Amino acid sequence: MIILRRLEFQEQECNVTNNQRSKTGDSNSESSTPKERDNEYLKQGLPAVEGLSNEFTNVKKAVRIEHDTFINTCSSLASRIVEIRQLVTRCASSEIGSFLKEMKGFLEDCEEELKLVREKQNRTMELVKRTAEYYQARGSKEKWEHPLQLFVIVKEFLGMVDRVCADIIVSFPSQEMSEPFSVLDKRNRFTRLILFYLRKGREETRSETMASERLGEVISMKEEVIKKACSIAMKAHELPEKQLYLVEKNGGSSDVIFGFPGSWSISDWFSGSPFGEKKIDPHPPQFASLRSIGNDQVATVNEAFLTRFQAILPQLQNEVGKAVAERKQIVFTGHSSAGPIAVLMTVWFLENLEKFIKSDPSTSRMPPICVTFGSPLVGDFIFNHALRRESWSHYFIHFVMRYDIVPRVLLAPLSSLEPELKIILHFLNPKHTTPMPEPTEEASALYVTVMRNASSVACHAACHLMGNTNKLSDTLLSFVELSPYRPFGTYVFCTGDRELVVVKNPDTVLQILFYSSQLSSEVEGPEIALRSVKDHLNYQSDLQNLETKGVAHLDNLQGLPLSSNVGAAGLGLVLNNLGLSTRARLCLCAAGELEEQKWRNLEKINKKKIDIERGLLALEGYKTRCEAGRLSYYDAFKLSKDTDDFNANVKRLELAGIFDEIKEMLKRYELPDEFEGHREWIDIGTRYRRIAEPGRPKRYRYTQRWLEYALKISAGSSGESCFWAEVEELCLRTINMGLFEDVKAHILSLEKQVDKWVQDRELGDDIFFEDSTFVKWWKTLPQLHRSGSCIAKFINN
Amino acid sequence: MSQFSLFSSGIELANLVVSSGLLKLSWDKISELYTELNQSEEIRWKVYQQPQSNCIIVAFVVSPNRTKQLLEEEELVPSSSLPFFHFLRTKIDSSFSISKAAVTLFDCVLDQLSSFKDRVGNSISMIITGHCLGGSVASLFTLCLLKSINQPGTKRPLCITFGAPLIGDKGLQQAISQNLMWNSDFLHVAASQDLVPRFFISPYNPNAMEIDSQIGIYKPFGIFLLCSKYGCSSLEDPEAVSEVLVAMDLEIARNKPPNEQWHMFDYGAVVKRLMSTISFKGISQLSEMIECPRQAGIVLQLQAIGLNRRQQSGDSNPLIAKLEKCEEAFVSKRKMGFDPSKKLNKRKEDMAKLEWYKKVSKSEDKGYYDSYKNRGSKKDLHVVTFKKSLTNYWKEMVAEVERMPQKEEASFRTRWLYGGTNYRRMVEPLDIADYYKENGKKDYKANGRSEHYIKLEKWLEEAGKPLSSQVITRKQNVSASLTEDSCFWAHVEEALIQCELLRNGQEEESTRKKLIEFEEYVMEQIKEYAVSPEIFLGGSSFMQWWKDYEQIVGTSYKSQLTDFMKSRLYQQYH
Repeated sequence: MIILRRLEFQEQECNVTNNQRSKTGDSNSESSTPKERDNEYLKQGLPAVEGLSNEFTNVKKAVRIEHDTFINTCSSLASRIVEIRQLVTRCASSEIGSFLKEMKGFLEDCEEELKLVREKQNRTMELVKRTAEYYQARGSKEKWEHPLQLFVIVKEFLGMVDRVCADIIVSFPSQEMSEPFSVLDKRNRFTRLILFYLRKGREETRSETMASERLGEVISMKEEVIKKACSIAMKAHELPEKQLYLVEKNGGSSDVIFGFPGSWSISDWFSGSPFGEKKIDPHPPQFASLRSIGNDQVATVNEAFLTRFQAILPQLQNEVGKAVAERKQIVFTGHSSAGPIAVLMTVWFLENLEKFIKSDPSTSRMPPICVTFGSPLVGDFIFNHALRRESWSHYFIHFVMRYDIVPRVLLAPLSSLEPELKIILHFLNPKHTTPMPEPTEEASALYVTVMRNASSVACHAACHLMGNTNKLSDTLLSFVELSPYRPFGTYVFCTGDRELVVVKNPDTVLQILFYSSQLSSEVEGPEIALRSVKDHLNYQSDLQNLETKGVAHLDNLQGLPLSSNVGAAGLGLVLNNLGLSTRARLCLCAAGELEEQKWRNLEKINKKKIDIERGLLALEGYKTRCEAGRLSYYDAFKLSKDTDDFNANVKRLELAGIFDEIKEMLKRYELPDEFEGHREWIDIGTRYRRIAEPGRPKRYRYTQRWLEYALKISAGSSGESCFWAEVEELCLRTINMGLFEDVKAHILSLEKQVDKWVQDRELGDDIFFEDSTFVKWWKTLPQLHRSGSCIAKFINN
Repeated sequence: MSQFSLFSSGIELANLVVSSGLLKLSWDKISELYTELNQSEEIRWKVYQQPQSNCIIVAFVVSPNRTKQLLEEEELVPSSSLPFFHFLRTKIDSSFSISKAAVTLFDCVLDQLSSFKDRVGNSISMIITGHCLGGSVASLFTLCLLKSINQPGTKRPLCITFGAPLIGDKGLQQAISQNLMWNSDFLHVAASQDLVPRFFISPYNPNAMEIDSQIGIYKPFGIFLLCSKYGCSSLEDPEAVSEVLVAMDLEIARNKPPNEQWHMFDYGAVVKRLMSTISFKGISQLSEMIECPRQAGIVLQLQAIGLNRRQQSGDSNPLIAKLEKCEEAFVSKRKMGFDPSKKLNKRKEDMAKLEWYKKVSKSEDKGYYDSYKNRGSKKDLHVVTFKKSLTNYWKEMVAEVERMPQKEEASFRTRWLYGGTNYRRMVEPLDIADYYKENGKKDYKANGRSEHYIKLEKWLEEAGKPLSSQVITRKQNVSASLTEDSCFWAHVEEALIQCELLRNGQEEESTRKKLIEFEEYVMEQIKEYAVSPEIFLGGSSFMQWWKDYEQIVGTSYKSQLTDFMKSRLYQQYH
């Protein structure tokens, strides 16, 4: 927070100097070109921001202090002193020696010193507490656990700043400074990024301040862009049949907007399976990220939308490439069934962003934005899980009118609504020319069917959110199939009453999708049903006066008012506007609680990092000691002769316990989606896997998949930790059967892999020790084979 | 996760069931079946194949006249005369009773059902449904199906009853709710206006006045979907179900003339209304500020089933407070449930430590049995702690298995058999050492052996296949393995005592016989490579025995074992 304030201050200062400079620049007319000016700004700005991190090194150190131990150290020391003193007095009664004298003196010194330390501690804590209180947002409900948490927050922020700076330096080689345009662009980006993080930081500490902001700020996107995107999304529907997309680029503007036309034929919405769903084909890996890594499950998407996306992609690729080269902010947009196309385009773009940068390092690193209006759902919960893991989900903004039926329509199977949907789609098609009566009956039928299915999906999800352990909800699934689709990204609900509600938690979105279109009375039925269809075309007119709309977030879900007659302002008002009943509110609370629980689980796991670290160090130490004894640690462990071997075994089991726990949580999706993307955990997992893999239980497979995924390599190729298992296997085969020729191919491939692993330093030299199982076995192979082997060089040395 | 206790999800589960459409599907079949029911028929059942899905519906209906007749008797039949349901018994509570009405009707169709069951198997999803006493029969038939479902992954049947009376006592309730899966296979739909579901629990039942009445003995099991004209909710905790059924009875009795004629209640209208209310919002106002989500949930539930229409909170309505307590107890009971996989890794650590202890003891030429018995050093004292945690773990495990109905138990225990056997072979010798250390104690197997060792050994025998493989492979690994008979050392100790007796010149004949038996036993074990070579270490009790025995029998005595020992063949035994 201090830094936030400082940064804001610096920004102001910078602006002031900028103004001054520009004034002086004006007066001195040609003395400084714009290019030089920009250089100047950057030279000033970057080091100042970078310097922050150095300035706060002590804060970073302070983060490592554990509050409780810190507080209790003094008292525990004091109690020990008392103990010693008692011992000393007891000794004193029996004999008097110089030791006792010495001891007494020492004790006195100790007490003196402890007093001082205590005083200092109290003073420091007082200071920290006051600082924390000052910076804690006023009226904030969520209190920090203890004042030291201030340091954690500051450190996290510093991390963000560092990352931004690194980004800038990487994408900003000094030779390029001669080009004024790029500098300007980068500087813009620099301030934008900083502002983005400032906002993010602010958002995290904000309590209930709402309705006072503008949408653009909340989702960090300009209102004009949203409006322009909306108009392009609608205009795209009018395109002639053959044209598959619409591009809007103004020379001056920094954005390029791609819009797609929707389709109104039912076969472009549903195909094949009951809900038109299809698992993403892992080969070729067009969407390599769309899976759950450890669990090794791929995401499911709507097949019809995927097919359409694939038809459009080849035509679009070049145009996108051009825009990237021009360092434009790319926006994909779509209304109705074009929404999913925009979504898939965005995911495709994100998947290939690295490639764009690799092929041309000067291209912009700016992530794309995806804006959809009344889009049907696209993917399942793994789709959402993957986007969150990659931290991509905030690039997706979905606008949904409160009653619009289309975003909910894929919650029902095709068989239940085909005839009605056909007519409704025809009615919605902007290209249809012959006037058509309002489809009142079809709308009602469609509304009832969709609501019934949405209710199943929402209630099933709610049972899970509320921690229901009853197996009935699962047993039911063997009789009725539920829609696999789930929302993802940021949803903006338009309640129609000059208000927008921003929701980021996908579980919450699902519940709102169902509950917000419930009826308050039977009379309302036909009217709402018709509205649920007509609202689908009202996005443009509703978003006309976007700037004047109030904005509310629905992210802090704990402590929602459960009844509509309390809190007619603030959150209560928002919930009333969405028409959420007490039942609905309870579901939202549960969604918030589950998310909170996931973070608590993560915290619990993170606390174990120290244990893991200690265990790994012990095992790695063991390995070194074994190597010093010219015995590979695998063999030493197998023989298990010394206490050292035994301790290693106990450590191994301890680690196994922790990793099993993590594996179980991942399997049940009880950790935040981001977990498997944490570099730190991937590293720890890999270290663990390499050091402790005698057999091959599942936990290793999880960590192996993390690594393979992070390095973007093919599955199964980083099996170096299975090395010993393979050796043992081959030992058995060559000894028992004796026929070398049978296993020759296997041996050759192992040797080749070993060669590679050793060169990549993934396997240690210890496998080549004289007494290692591997060498002993290798020496039993035929001479002819050994002389020509690619690893002979290692063993003969 | 901790949110378990924060929310009450009864309404959500109930609405999931309603919107799934399964209630309508089942009821449609029942009303179709009623039209086919002959005047003379007592009970009728039929199987309906669902188009385009691998799912069948089995429906039961009972003629209204017969129903009326049977409902007058509330007699129970004890499990001892129900051989067909013996599989439900657990080792701990082995008796239960089932309503005579249900059993009588079930017996009428038992033969047909058995052959149908054998024909269909567990390969397709099955909904078993029935109305009123037909529902009771449906429940009993579902129980029969559960008997043959064991492996995870087989299709679980779902039993949906409409307005069925309670059919069993506390024993049956416990047998079923012991297993989470079993309990959630039963869904009982009960409308607030229908008397039958609470017939056997109602304090207003005229029979309740009679002295030998069995009203109140009946207990619910399974999940109850309670509905009124205001909505529906589900309840799982049997305690809560009883409370609510009684409360419903009171509520209705207040509003109705007491001597109203009983009639079959039509659930078709109820189901239809429930389906149509899905798109309605329901209440969003609570008259009192309730902040606790669980309490709010319970208030909503009671409102949905037509109780507590005045929206009182827990302070003013005792039922809410009671339900809240029930829910809390239910959840925490479930949470406390023993999960053997939870601490498994910790126990593996303990075993590793013991193994290490064994190794160290061996290097001291003593064997871990004798090392532990003598408690010569610090490490022997350490062993006590992890021995204790291991023993507690396995005792709990065995107790857990004992509580399961027989059918479930079998598959469960085979999963843990390997670990259990290893544990028994490793740890029981230590218990034996403790036992014989106390002077004068005799006959461990009869007096000192803990129940859970006996059980673990019995499971191994029942599993049929010997865990340690062929003699040849055993021979290869004998130096590292454990003595197979975990009571080996008890035999040794007994033999030592016998030697002592002989030296003191007591009970010549029988004692000698026992020692020869022991000789044969040991030789048998050695031939099978079933004992660990540790027993031949210098400081072992076995060698102590051999020294004693050698003296007693003298040099002239000859047997297989003495040959083996004298020729020092045992030095090659590893």
